[in-house]
Amino acid sequence: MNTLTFRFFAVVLVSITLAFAISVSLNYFKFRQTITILVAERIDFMASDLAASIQLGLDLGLELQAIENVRSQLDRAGLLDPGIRAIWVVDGQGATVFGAAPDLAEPLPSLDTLDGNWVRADDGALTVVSPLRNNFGLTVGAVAMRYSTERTEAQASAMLRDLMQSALVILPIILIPAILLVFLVQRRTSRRLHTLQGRFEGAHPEPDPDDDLGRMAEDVLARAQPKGQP
Amino acid sequence: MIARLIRNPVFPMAGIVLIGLLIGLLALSERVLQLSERDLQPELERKAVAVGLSVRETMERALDYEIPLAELNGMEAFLEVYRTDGGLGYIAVIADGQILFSSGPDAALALSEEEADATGAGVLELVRAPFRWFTAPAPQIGAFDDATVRQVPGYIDTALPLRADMEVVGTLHLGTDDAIIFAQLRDNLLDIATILLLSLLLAVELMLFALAYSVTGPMGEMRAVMQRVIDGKLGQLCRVSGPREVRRAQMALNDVIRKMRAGVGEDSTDILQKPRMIGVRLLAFLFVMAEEIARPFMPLFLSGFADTAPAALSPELTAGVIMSASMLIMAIMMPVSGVLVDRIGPRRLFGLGALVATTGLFGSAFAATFNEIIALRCLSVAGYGLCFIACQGYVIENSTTANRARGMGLFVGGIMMADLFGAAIGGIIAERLGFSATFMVGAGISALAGLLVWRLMEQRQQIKGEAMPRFRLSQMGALLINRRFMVVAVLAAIPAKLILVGVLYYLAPLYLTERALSQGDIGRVIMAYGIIAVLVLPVLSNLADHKLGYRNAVVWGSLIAAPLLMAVPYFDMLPVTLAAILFLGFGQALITTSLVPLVTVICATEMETVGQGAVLGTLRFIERIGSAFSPLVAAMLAQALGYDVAIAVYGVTGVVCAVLLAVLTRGAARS
Repeated sequence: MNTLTFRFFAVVLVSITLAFAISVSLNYFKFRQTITILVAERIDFMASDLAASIQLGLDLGLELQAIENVRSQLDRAGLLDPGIRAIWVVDGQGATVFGAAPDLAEPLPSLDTLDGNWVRADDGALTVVSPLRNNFGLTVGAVAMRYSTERTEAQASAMLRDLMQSALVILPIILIPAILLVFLVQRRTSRRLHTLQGRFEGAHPEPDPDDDLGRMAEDVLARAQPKGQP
Repeated sequence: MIARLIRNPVFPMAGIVLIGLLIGLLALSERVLQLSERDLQPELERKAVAVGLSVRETMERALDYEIPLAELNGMEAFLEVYRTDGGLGYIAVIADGQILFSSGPDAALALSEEEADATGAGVLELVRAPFRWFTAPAPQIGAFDDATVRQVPGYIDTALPLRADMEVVGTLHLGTDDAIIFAQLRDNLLDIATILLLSLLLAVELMLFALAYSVTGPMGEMRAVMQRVIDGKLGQLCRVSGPREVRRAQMALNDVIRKMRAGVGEDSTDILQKPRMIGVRLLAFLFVMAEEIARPFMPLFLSGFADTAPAALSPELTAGVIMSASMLIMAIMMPVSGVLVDRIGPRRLFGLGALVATTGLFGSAFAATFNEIIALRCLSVAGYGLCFIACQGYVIENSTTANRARGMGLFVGGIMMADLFGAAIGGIIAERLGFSATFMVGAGISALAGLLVWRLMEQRQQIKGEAMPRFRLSQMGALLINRRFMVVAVLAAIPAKLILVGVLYYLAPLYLTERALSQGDIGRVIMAYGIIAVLVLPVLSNLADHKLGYRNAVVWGSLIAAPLLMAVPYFDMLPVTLAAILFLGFGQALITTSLVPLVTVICATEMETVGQGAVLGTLRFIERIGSAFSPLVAAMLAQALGYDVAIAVYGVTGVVCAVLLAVLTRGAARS
């Protein structure tokens, strides 16, 4: 373990593997973030679109509860994407008036505070709330949509798995030639040290004229030689 | 020279690791792009289909009333609303090979027969081709079975049939600008390039340390012992350490020395203890990176505590107050740490500093109120100050005037690498995992530094170099009445730190966030400062030493650093901001290389009376006062004038100070 060969190989192995580990993990997180944003944008559009069509009824001066086609619109919207877990409409007080609200870990925000759409990711799903306003600009309710992020999570996991497999294929391709080259570097350093050791122990290996350590060893041995001895 | 470089195993090893990593990471990056294309493109198509279904539903409702498609009213305005809301490039309604209604300047492309290449065409394709080691993944099943998707020049065209009485009467075409995909790919490519660069830097840093610590270091000790023997000094043996091959050579050398000693009747068992200062480089790298990692988002993060700030501070001022408080703590910690390092030694001081910094960084991840965050940031910066002085103290204690510059070079090298690495990696982590996770990564790095110090810094009683006089506040008086010193301190040192902290640490991250840049991009822009400094520093120090002279270098540095900052509000473009930061890095590098030598020249008398430590300590103290107030000044300016104009004000201040410095030091230039 405590040999020059082991240390050289360990340095190369650790450096390259660490760099790969960093690269794989950062790329995974980037992908996960990008795909989550794209899905959130789409769900945001779908909720806004549904809110816009319900808004047509409000623009005619109807009460939210009195708009007849809301239920059918919710049903139709629910069929557009299998990832949609629930769509429901709440009134100004947050009470559900159409559809069935799922159990949420945290309640929806107060509608009075909503400027535009509200998006939250929790518990394997995205929740989007799009406010509904009457002719006077008052918020009288909202469309809420809960979308499962299982597919995007699965895509991200598949991405991580694929990247790890790719790294496992690439690493040996890179490491084998790198280790062979390192072996050449290590062999030269080992040879220098063996030559030094040999000279100090009284052997006479062929000195390398370019090796400054070797030249210094010659000078040390010359000093160690008792005066008068050749 | 080249033969010597090749003979040192560090350089060929670095080359091998660099080439291996470059090829390997490019192949991995190509795979990332393949997988991103596979998964992101269908997601964009899904969005186009969602918009298309909504448009089609409304249109088909009208068609069901038996209104002919060509006679629908108000279609252009209707399509325009959906195109804008859906973020699409165009929407077109086509019947009988003709566009009936459209929105978007490139709607004619919906008729295009030409199938463009998929993303990644052109130069990018040439770059990617050699690294395509894996078969492209199978494309995902279409977003919606009724839709057909094809690539036209510049867009992904998604077509949906329009029906009336079950008969297809036309087609609705929705063009998603493929620049969106290119933007995703561009972001990915930039991140990949950054990760590649950072992985390379980290790998080289690790390798330099590992080889220097276990191979070239012990071999260097052998060289030092042999040189002593050649010089006739037999008093010390070589420390036996390192891998087996090195140890055997060291033991053989020691046997030769013992025999020589026996010959002259000497019987000493002293071992040459040459301190291994390479550890300081790794420690400096780690503790600076732990703090720098939060640099790109720090002002943005701190401004989020405005709700709980006292006296209804604005978000800008909240960030400014917290940053100023932490900078002030840094200024105070420097002399305090100087006293502590004498008492408890560098190793314990570093351990204490790492513990304090880790607590501060870890706590920052969970801080909920203004009071908590200000306390935790001050704690974190105090830990940074303790570690900084511990490393500096270790170098001073274990070096003589002959090798102190080399020791300091290792320390500064570690800091510069961390400056480069920290901001860029911090931006990338923050963008992916959020601010809290980034602070926790910083805490982890700081804790690692705290653990490694017990291995990388040697016990102080073993080694003792030439002591350097410490800075005492009472010694400042003599310098404060030196007019030339004060001119340089007030017109060069303070503005340099004022601009560095105010612009680079405070205003630039907030300005770039306002310009909708991602945290990764902000990290890269800030990294540009470090890159230019690292690249030009050796050249500039040579230039200042031999050609320009220190006074001229400081004046030119001040003149170069500031002017482009004034252009930021006039050109609302990233390249201008980037250029301003590059010039700032270049100018500050020139100031950094020449300020200390200039002060040692103009304070030659004080150097003899109060000592070098007091002179440089006073300079650093004055500089840090500039750093401490800078975020607060920047916050007030930003609140009153906006980030871009505030940056310009800093530019004007820099230029005015530089011109005054040039005028008031004309005599020094002549002498």
